[in-house]
Amino acid sequence: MRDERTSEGDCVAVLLVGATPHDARVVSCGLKREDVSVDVAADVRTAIDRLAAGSAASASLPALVVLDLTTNPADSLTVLKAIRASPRLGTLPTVALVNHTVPTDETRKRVRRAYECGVNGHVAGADDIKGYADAIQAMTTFWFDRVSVPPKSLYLDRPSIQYD
Amino acid sequence: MTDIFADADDTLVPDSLKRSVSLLSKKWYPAIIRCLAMGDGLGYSDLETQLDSISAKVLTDALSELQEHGVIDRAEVSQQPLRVQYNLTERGEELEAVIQSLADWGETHFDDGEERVVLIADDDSRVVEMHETWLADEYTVRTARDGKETLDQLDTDVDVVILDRRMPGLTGDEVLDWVRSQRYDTRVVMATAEDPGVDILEMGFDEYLIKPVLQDELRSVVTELIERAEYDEKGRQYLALQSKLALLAAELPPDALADDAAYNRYRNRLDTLEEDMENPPEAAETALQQLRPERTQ
Repeated sequence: MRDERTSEGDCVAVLLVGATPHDARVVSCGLKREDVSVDVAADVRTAIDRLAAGSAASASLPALVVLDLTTNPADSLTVLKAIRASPRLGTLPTVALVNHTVPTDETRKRVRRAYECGVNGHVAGADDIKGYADAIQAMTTFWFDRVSVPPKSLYLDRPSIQYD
Repeated sequence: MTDIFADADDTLVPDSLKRSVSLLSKKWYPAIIRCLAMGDGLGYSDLETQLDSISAKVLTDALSELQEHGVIDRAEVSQQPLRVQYNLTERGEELEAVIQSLADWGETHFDDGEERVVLIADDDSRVVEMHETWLADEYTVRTARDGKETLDQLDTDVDVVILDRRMPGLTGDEVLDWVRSQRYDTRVVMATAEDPGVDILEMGFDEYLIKPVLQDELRSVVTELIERAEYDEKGRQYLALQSKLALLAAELPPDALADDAAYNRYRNRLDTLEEDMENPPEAAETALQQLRPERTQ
């Protein structure tokens, strides 16, 4: 992903799905970087509308979809399934989150379900809120500085490496 | 020649038909013709390679008979060493088109092994169950009670979605936008109790049913939409638009329609699409220009 960014100041968009306002603040904090903008879609409808609109205007699709499975896992999984089943967005990178308040067994179940639905990675199992935010930060660094994602051309109409 | 025509009358089965069927029913002939149609001049050994298990004698005989009928043409490209190329003649290309039509026909009518999937989405359980009963004998039916379940059930196997326009969570309109924006190769029927307005022209569904829907109506719409899969994008657009305009003409007073800018714009678009379908060349761009609503107001 680093390689695809053309110059300083380019910003990549992250779509955060299913987070409560409080969780969204924590997650956004962890995701916070100059070159990352976070768009929050609290429910399925908003997430689907954003992704549909982004698909229509190719360049405005997010570079990463972060699915919060803490409060309403079913909704976030619906969005994940919709992305994976789509002929258009099948390869869009996705990461699942479960915060420190969810019991271990339940966390395991949700993460497992997310992988069954095709998620690319997850952050879970933090001891407290700070650990959680740190883990998200580490994930962000990993995701935006280390990972080579599939070229956007896989899910855009025209090959394009421009981010809005 | 085989006796598939038995002793049928000559006017029923003229000699011309017997002879062409006989030519096409010979082993390897259609394969050779199709090979030559794809390649730009093939040598004997090219054909031998492509038609994996053909014997040298059969190939030689076939080539000379096809030459006799003027279907293919043999040209010596060089003398020393001798190199020969085979091409389809104009006559052969006509025959290849016939073979292609036969293949298309077969694809349409012989694929009864393929299951067709219909997804019924409605927040009224009784409606879902009733529609399911009507369709279950012919199709694999999936059901959904709201917009989210519809998303959960939707994938590329679905051939037709019957969408309630009003559903909690995600409305039918929103699901439709999703289906279209994601380029699903899926036909959509919008079912609703509301009377349609001119705004339906802007929506990407293929057919519109006004509730309550009758059994025959539903079954015939689904059959029709599954057949529409054979058309290309333009053909489907045409048929979808035709249905919408017919619906509006039936539902709204003629005076109101005559003055409606959107209605007239789409009427013109239908004409453009129609001309375009009769002469395949690409007038599609003009049609698309007409489709684009003026965003100025």
